[in-house]
Order: sequence, then structure tokens, then C-alpha cells
Amino acid sequence: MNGIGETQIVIVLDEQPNWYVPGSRLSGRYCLRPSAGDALRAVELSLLWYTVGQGEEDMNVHHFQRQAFEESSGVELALIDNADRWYPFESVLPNTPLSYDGVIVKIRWCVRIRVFPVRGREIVVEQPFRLGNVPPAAMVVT
Amino acid sequence: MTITDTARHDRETLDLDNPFSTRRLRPGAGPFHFGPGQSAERLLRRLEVLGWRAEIVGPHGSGKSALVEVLVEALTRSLPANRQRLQKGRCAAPNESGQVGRIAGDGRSVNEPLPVMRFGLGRGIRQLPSDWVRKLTEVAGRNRVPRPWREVVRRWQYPLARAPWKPAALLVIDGFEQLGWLARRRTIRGVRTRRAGLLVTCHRPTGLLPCLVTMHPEWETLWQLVCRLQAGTTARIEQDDVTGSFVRHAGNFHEILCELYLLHERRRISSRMD
Repeated sequence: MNGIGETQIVIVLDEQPNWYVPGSRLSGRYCLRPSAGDALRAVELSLLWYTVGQGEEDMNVHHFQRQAFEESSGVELALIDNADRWYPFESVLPNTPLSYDGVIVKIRWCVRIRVFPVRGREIVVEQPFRLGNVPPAAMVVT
Repeated sequence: MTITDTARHDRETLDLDNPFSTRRLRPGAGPFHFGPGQSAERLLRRLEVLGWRAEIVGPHGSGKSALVEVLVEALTRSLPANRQRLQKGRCAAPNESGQVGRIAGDGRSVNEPLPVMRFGLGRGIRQLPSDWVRKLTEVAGRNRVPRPWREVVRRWQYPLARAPWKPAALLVIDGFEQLGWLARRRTIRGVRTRRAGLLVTCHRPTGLLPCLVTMHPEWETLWQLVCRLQAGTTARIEQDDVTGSFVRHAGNFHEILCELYLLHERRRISSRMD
């Protein structure tokens, strides 16, 4: 569970293996717990990979879904205010790129939730996971 | 159903991710460390005093690009200083995007944001795009000097820079020294005739623009940065490492942080194998 200010976001993966097999199904759900009075404009869910390291960064979104809350649809906002509401997601993982823990570059997979409140800055929460079982790199001392 | 402990994953990711990686160091990723008595508001005020044309001088890796990022961000967001100016009736309120409008009284819509055109030179790029003048004209529009002042300038040779004006746009050039002597002069002239502002970074004073600030790489700043980056992770870089690297690379933050990245990786892998 993560919280910034009073808004809390929980990401739950249905299964939690040490690593996911490429081509397998990843499913889960997320829950938003804004404090009373907080209104949300939209929530975006991305299943993506990105690189971390010394050089230029790269990233790609494999799966994306957006949940928009219209200002007029008071029912949606009221539901969020009063009780936890879970939003499911599901996607078939690709074959590549596999998670990799290198020295110069690392490849990370994650489920990222981006919340856009009506007021204030957006909130981003990530749930990392591993795709494939590539062993981490070892540094060669010359 | 297994509830995933997001906080635990975050800790693991933080520990796996090198604190000196690009994503943690890119301009805007963290707060900028200003020198004593400096702030974004003060520098913007000084930029205004200098006629919206100035240069940020400093050696390679001293934080010029990071400072530009902070200033551009401050220009396009609602700063306390801007709000204060708003109360004085000099500046427009931020629009829906949070951008600050131009000064009222120049005959324009006060809620228009100040457009910023930004170019980064270096890494093989040694000239501005060929259509930069057209683009600047598009965003700046016809921001002409008010007629009475045009007369004053023409008759009395009054310096144009002293005429009361506000830029219609701000051109930001990171790596101004990459341009040749003639190209620099052409750029300044092009910006001046379009009544836009110009903010550049360069390694040495060009002598063509007033200096907004001179950047000096300092050990204390570097150590504070290292401490901030390592906060929440397993600290693998000690004070001695920073001192040695600072001396070896003569204060070049880029080179120092590259070295610390590799040192951090080496120690992380060693600790994993132990």
C-alpha cells in the first residue's frame, strides 16, 4: 500500500511468483482510497518496462488502460469516497525484453498506477515484477 | 489471493536501482541546490532586471542545465513571486495549465503564458535548427516596442534594452559556446528584433550578454547531493570516495557521478556475492 498525502493506492497481483514466464498471464487489481472530499479526474494503469542505468533511458508500455471519472458522474466519485473499489487488470506478458540486472543497464518491469486528482499533483505508484529469469550480471575485474 | 507488499517491493527496487543512475540525476529529478542567498525567484528577478537576456556561466558539469530546468519550470509555473506581482497588478494570474501570464499593459491578453523555446547544443549538434527564427516569430508574434518608445529610440539613440518591455517568448540555449562567433551574434540580433528574451549557458563569459550567475562546483554541494541520492537505500558511497573523486575530476559533477555509479555497482555486486 502506498500513500501520498491522504490518498492511498493498493496494487495487488493475483499471483506472486519470483518471476513470470514470458507469454504468461499477469492479472491483478488496484484500489484507490482517497480521503473524504478528494476527487479524482482519472486513473491510468500501465504495464511497462523501462531501463535504468548510466546512459539514455528507454521505456515501452505493453498494456494501458484509463479510468476517467467525469465530474457529472457523482456516483463514481461517491463510491470511491465511501468504500474501497477494486479495478481489475489483466494482460498477457510478452516474450521480451526480459528483466535484467546489469551493471551499465538494468531492465525493469512494473505495473504503474498514475492518479490525476482534480486538485494537486499527480500520484504515481509502481509495483515491480520480474519477467523471465535472467541471472544478474557480475562485474569482471580486469 | 496474495496481497503484494508494495512498500517492500519499493525498498527492493530502490536498493537495486543505482542512486547515481540517469533517472535519478536528470535535471528536475530532485531539488536544485542553490548557492547562499540564491533562489529561483531571485534569479528570475535578476533576469528581468538584466532585460531578459543573460548567460549562465560555469564549467562542464557544474549544474548549468539543471539550473536552467529549474528556472524554466519556475517561469511556467505559479511562483510565490509571481503571485506577489499579481497582487501588485503587474502580472497576470496563472492560467488553467498553471502557467503565468504576461505583464499587463502591453496590449496583449494577460492570460497568455510566456512560451519558452529551448534548444540543447553539444554532442555533435553545433548549430540551431534552420527554422528557429520562424518558430520564434510564430510563438513571439509581433511584440513591438510601443510607438512612443520607438520614437525615443530612433531620435535619441536610446538603448532599446532599457525600453519598458516584457518578452513575448524566451529562447533558452543550453551550450551557447557551441555556436560560432557569427552565429552567436546573429542569434542575439534575431532574438532582439523579435523582442524575445534569451537565456543561454556557456563555459566562459561570451562578452555578448550580461551574466546571470556563475556556477562554481563545490564539494559541499556534491556531498549533499550524494547524501540525498543515497537516502532510503543502502549507502555504499562514503565521504572519502566523494572527496577523492572530486579531486580527480576537478569538480566535474558529470564525471564524478559516473565514477560513483560504477563504484556503487561494484560494491553492490561484491556484497551480493559475499
